[in-house]
Amino acid sequence: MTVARVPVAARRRVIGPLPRIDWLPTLLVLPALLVLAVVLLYPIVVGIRLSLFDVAFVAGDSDRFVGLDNYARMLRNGQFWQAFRVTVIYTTVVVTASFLIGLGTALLLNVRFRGRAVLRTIAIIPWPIPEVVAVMIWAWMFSADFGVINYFVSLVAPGVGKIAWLSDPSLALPAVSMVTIWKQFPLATVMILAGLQHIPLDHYEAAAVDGANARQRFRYITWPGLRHVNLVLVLLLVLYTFKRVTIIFVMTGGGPGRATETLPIQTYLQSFQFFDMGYASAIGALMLTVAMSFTLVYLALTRRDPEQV
Amino acid sequence: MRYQAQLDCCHVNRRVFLQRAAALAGGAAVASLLAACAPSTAPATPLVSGTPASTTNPPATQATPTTASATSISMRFPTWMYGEAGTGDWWRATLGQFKQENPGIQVDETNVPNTQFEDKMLTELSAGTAPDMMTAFTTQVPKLVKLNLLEPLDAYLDKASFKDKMVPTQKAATIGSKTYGVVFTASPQGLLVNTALLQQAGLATPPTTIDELFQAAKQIKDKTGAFGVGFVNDSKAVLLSYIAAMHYVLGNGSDFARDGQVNVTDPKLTEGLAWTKRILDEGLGPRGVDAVALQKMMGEGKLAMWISGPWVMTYLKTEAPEVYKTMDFVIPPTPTHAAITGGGFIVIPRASQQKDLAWKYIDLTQRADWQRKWLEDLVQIPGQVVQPSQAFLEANPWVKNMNDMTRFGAGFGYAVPGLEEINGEYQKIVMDHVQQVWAGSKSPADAMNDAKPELEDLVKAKVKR
Repeated sequence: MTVARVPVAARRRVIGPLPRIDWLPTLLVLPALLVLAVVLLYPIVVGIRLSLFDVAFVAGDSDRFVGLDNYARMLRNGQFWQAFRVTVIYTTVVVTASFLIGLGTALLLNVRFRGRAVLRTIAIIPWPIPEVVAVMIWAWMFSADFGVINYFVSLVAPGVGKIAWLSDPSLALPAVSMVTIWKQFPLATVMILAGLQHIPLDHYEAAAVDGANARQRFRYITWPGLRHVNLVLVLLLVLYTFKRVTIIFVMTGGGPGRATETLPIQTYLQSFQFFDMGYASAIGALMLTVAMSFTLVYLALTRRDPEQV
Repeated sequence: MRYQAQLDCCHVNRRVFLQRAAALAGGAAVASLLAACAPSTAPATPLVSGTPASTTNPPATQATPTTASATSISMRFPTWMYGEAGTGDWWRATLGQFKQENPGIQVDETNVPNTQFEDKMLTELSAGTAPDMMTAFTTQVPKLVKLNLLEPLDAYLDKASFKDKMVPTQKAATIGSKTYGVVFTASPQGLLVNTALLQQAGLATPPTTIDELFQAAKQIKDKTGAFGVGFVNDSKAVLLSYIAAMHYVLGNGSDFARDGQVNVTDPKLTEGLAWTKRILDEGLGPRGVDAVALQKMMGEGKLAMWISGPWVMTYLKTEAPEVYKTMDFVIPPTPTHAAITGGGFIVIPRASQQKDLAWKYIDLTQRADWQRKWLEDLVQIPGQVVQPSQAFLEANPWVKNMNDMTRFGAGFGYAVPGLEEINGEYQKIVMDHVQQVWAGSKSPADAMNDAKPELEDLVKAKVKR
């Protein structure tokens, strides 16, 4: 998009003895920035500070400065690396699946057919359902002895027996991932669907005239047209998944045997069950670093693209 | 042209800028003035109270001053039980008598749901807004003692008339050489048995040995379709799962620690864990269930046996009276018959401003009539040894068994012996590995061999010797 140059004559009319100062937008945004600073920046600063101390839990007692000891302890701790591994696997699987399912759903719902509006509504139902309510229902569905999922498995494969989805360390993470994907894919659907509306139809018409098949149309028109939406979407999915607590906490509590204990869960346990606030803050600081890294990658990718505004 | 329009709408010349800046500054000044003139919160009126109890150490923090006038004192007493049928009535009745005997004293009966109680009270105590007295779960006491938040009660207990009548669970409130609470309930856990299901399976009496337990459970499952024996094995319920494991581990004469030393590779311990694994592997008990689900299953006649506490009987009495009539409560059929005994305590925060009055209330609750009411009205073991009346025993025959069971009391307070200050973390590491046993990923011996170095590292890092 090009910016029109202001004619010299017009500029002369508005410039007075003082240089033109455009304070109004800044002033209007300032209250929001102040609130953001208080609720966002201040806790981050305090959290980083806490990570350098052995924090006294009781008011009146003093915190003990330990420098980077909490970080050193974290890096030496096998439980931390286990949680890190689980977090990486969980985030990778959930983001990839949410994106792909959302993309597929959006492409389907972009085609005109009878009942499309109803299906669009059904597709986004998982998103607005309160998370705790939905997860508790899923937890019952996954119950080894009473769950409806095992009932259907028994109909399809009678010899399999009861599957302990949430009690088996090898199955708990896939089960939790599945619920997270179910909860998150509507976001991908909605964003990609919105992006599809902005791809000009004449591009497809021209491609059809040139004899492009569906795969070629997707590869050369749809996918490039969704690039900017995809960048934002993937970043959001990564950040949302990385910090998820409720689904895992309600379904498995981080168990069995730490199979679903991600870094956010470990942070909660260290803070509020074992009262080790300093160590928990060190884990939190690391999580902040990882999240910021994703954001920086996004910014770098968008800066490279001159069309991204 | 579009840019020109944008420019026109947003341009600020000198006059307009100065006008707007003046308006903004004026508004900010008025707002500041109004804020400065707003009335501040009035300070609490000074206390009118007796001399605070002398203690060895001064309070770590100051409590929020309880309000007082020249003729009345207000105290705060939170618990999770005010909303419970039965126990709530008992607490309110004792407080009613306390207020009658001590005119001018008001008690704020704060109900805090049990799921939030520990976190909420810890936050209040740590922040210096402590109540005057409170109830505490057994597992809470060591944590609060470690944080120096509870008042030692030895000076009061030494002069108490009831000190020699207390149930063995009272020991769980003694940490180091000081006692920090008075037990108000200490019910041992035993084997709950649905005798109707037992009879349907062709069994006349409840099992008395571990082999009989497995045999009975299998027969019940085969002949009635109900689960034979259950235990909490939900990965979310770390403490309750740990207690479930304790039944079989302590029942086999072992424990997860001994005198502050890690003991998880003891062959008797792994044998006890193997029993729990067998219950799940043979389908004798449900998988992935918590205590609420088990209670419900028992009430619906879908579970025949479960080692748990008499509160389940209280639940069945109200929710499933037909099933309650068929229930029995017997000694656990393990080799040592260990009856894991938790409990609840009344404690006085170190920052309490009414320690003497708090003790006066505790003393009232320990009177024989209130202790008997706890046993006979609530059907739970009170803090003191009480003999039930004949009429009560005839109406609730299983209570005799419960009373007898106290001699097998073990695992008091669900504590890790010698490592109470790191109870929570120790139990979590143990259960992380036990859950792998229950999932079939590891044998009990392998799982405990893996757990041992982690536990030893934890003890080395966190326990000051």
